[in-house]
Amino acid sequence: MIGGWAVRAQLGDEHYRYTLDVDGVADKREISEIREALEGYGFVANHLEWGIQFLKKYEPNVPVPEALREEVEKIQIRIEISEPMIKEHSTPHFFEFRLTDFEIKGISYHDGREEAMVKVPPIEHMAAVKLGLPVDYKNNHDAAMLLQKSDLTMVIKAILVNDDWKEMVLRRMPKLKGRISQSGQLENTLALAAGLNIKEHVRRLDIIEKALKK
Amino acid sequence: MDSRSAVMSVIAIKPQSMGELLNRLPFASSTIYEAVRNLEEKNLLRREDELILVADGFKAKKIADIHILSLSHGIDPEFILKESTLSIWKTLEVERGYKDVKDLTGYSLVTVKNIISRLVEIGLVIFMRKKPVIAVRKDDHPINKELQMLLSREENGETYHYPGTIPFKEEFVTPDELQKILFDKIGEGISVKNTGFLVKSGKGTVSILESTDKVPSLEELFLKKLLTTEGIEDLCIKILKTGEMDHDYLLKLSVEKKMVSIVGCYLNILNDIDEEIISDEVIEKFHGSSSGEKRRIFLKQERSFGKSGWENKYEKKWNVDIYLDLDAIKHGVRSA
Repeated sequence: MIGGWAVRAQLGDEHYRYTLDVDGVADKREISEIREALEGYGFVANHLEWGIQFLKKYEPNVPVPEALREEVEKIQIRIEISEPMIKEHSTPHFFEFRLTDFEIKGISYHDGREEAMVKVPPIEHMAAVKLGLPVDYKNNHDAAMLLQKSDLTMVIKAILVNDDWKEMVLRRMPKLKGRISQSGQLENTLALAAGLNIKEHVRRLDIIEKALKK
Repeated sequence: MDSRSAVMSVIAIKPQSMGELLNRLPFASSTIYEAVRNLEEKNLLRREDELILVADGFKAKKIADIHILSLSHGIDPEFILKESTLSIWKTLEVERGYKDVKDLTGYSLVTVKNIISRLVEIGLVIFMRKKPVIAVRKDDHPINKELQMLLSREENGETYHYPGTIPFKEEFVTPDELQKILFDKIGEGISVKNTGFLVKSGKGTVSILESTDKVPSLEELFLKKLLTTEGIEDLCIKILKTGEMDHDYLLKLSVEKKMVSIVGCYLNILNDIDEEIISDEVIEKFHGSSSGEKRRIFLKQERSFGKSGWENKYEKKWNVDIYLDLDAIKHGVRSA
């Protein structure tokens, strides 16, 4: 599991944001097996350029308040599975996850009594990916929250061993720092609400940038 | 004034211990104990150590304010906050006769006449005509303003649920409703847009409240969001994907707000990424209406990050100075 759910698995409530879509990566040889399994659960598979997108209408198995029913009706579960290589739009840059390098983490069900166990990349690898992705408020927030808990040396190493992902990270740096520091900007509000020390976060980004420029 | 109103009035002015209440109020001890218990049950009072204080939350705060305000106008708060008074008071938002009020509230004609007469006496209501009687609320009276806030219905606010998931809750609310939320939800994560006010909850998501005179339509919301990075890269794309937006109305609003070039340019960029989001025809309509607009920066807050080299084609066509993150927009289109 990668993406927002993997960040949730790594950070728990300290993630400070919710997500619905599930993103996963798998070995090319296993993807058709996954497709068959998910189709068995009623998902419809759409084959896209980067992998397979599975869609299914959400059917809640908990009581839904009347006021929310109409909104809940519109929700679709979306699972996206691709090979373990995150490619950046219109550039040759990519980040590759090693499928043998993972941690097993729990994600709590809504009642908090049970957990689903999932395989996720090490936190430093996830931070490294997020730092090179487009700097929308979700990626920026995830990167900041992951980086708080990461060993910076390992984040830098994960960036450097991946092709030329460092070019992507360096390209994103001004926005990663600028947007989160800008008062009134959504990621600034989300970061403050999550208790992030923004000055310290920018200082950590400076360290990464300096190391990548060497 | 009854014992409950007396207790509430004293506590509204200053927190007191039970001993002080028993000493200073002209009621039997058992009556005061009963009044305090009743007000605690209604979540209007609470205890902290030895003291009795006004409870947390909008309703308790507002009722305490009304007690003080009533006393300062020489009016008994018990009368104002009585169920029958409030029911009748509510109907007088517009001009009405006795029979009309009787039919609407179910109270007897005698009760209606007595209460309206008393409301007129204390200045909250005026007679527009005497024979037959037509009465109406005096909206500029400070007590009426407080009562209106207390009784204003909760559906004034609007929470926008975008398809997919949003890591925060965004609400557009009137100033009265916003005040109510501030008191009632101060224990949760709250931020008031454009003020820098933020209260953390300790965990979970934050509600971003935006004060507005009226709840915006989907098209107005689109235009508001188009001036933010999260709007351009995520929320506006999600709004478009609902298919519920009236493009002609959006164009009309854009003309009024002198935003035709910006909106047209944005739709053009989205169309080049995924033509299913918006049709060429809509873009052409915007293009046809964009001439004469002053060249604007799109978006000002992104200007310091510079340009990336792809902007020229759109800048020429739409006469807009573009500072947008195309990668983030593409990412938003893919994940919307």
